[in-house]
Amino acid sequence: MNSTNLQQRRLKDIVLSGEGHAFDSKTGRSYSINGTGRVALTMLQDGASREAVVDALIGLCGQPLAVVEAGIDAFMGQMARVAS
Amino acid sequence: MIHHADLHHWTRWNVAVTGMNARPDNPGPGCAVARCLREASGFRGRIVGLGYETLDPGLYRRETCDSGYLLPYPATGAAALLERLDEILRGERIDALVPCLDAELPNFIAIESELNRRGVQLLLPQRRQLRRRDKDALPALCLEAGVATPRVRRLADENFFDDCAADGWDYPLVVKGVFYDAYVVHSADEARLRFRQLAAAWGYPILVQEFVGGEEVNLTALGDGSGAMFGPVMMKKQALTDKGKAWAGVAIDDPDLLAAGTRLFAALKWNGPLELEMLRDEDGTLHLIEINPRFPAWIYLTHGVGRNLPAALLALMQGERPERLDLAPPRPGTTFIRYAQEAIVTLDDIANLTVNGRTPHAPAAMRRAA
Repeated sequence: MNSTNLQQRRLKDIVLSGEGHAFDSKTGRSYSINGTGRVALTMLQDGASREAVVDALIGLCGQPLAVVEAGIDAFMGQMARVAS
Repeated sequence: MIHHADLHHWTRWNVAVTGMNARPDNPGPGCAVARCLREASGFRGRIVGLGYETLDPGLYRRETCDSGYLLPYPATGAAALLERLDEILRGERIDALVPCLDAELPNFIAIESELNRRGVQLLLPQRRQLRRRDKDALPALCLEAGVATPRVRRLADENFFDDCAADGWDYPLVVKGVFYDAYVVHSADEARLRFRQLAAAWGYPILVQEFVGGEEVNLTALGDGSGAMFGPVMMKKQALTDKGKAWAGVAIDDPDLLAAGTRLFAALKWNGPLELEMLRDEDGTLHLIEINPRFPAWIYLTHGVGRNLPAALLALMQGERPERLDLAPPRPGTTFIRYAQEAIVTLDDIANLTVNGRTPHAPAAMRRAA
């Protein structure tokens, strides 16, 4: 899974508030996203690669590579489903 | 602001609006249209409510209408409507009229030129355009516009439901009245029941449409007859009444819906307000379910997102160029939540409307004439 699978245009449809409320302006659906997810989504919307997001989150969360990779893959899978 | 001082500017017009019924489960659009005009920047005109029932609440609410009148039912025809409007015009100036109900459109189209001669502006489709968006005409229109739509068929006989599966009409199906109401049915017995209910309420024909599951998204906009679409506002229903009407909805910005709307407006060359009702299925395909030839009941959301379409309609009527309409960029995420209120009406007010066909706050000239 990489950010191109998510389609940059669809990611841009998601309006993220500072409080973790994400609104998909195409479908009208709303979601809650935690702090880590907000960082990941913002980076993906800016065009960052999966690897860049993983590197950033390792630095931010101090978690092992495998944990962050599993988390980010699950998150990107969720985003692919809701923003398909 | 200098041009607002011009008495002929639309912001000084007296505007008649129909559809003042407001049952919470299925309100008419009239009250919301009037509210949009009331809150339009610089609007100083009068709003004249036109209704069909003494219990249409918009007729009594001063926040909605400055005066209210009863009209003859659409089934009585265009001549009766014109006669009644002439009666009203003897006591009250009306510069523009905004019909808000499907069933009355043919009558208003028939008397449009007569009303124009009396100084009343309307922005209406032609009769042919109206027919092209009839529920049973949608497949042909959608073929031309490149938009998906479920199969639909006119019915005059409820026996259709017994053997319809043999012709490829599998349950669930949607049974619809020619103007209003639609029910999803899962069996022949249920279909027969709804068929009879709809025939009793709205007459024949009854329509049957293939069921499409999905999320409903709507678009409202204006046309000027050129094929262009102006001021589109898109909305996804978030909560529904028992009749499937929006109880809450959120403004969206859906490029696919916008593209479908653009193609449909181009195919129809629509003149006036319009609402598209579409369903997005699991695969993301949009299916056109209905086209309403008027503003929807959720039109107040257009004011909420900075695109007050009833105000823009008046500006178009006055000859404003479409590109100069006061329309803000879309504001997806803005939500409406409908609520019900009780209007307190005195016995005198009810009596006045019942006996004289007008509310007591009609202009003095009208009261003297009665």
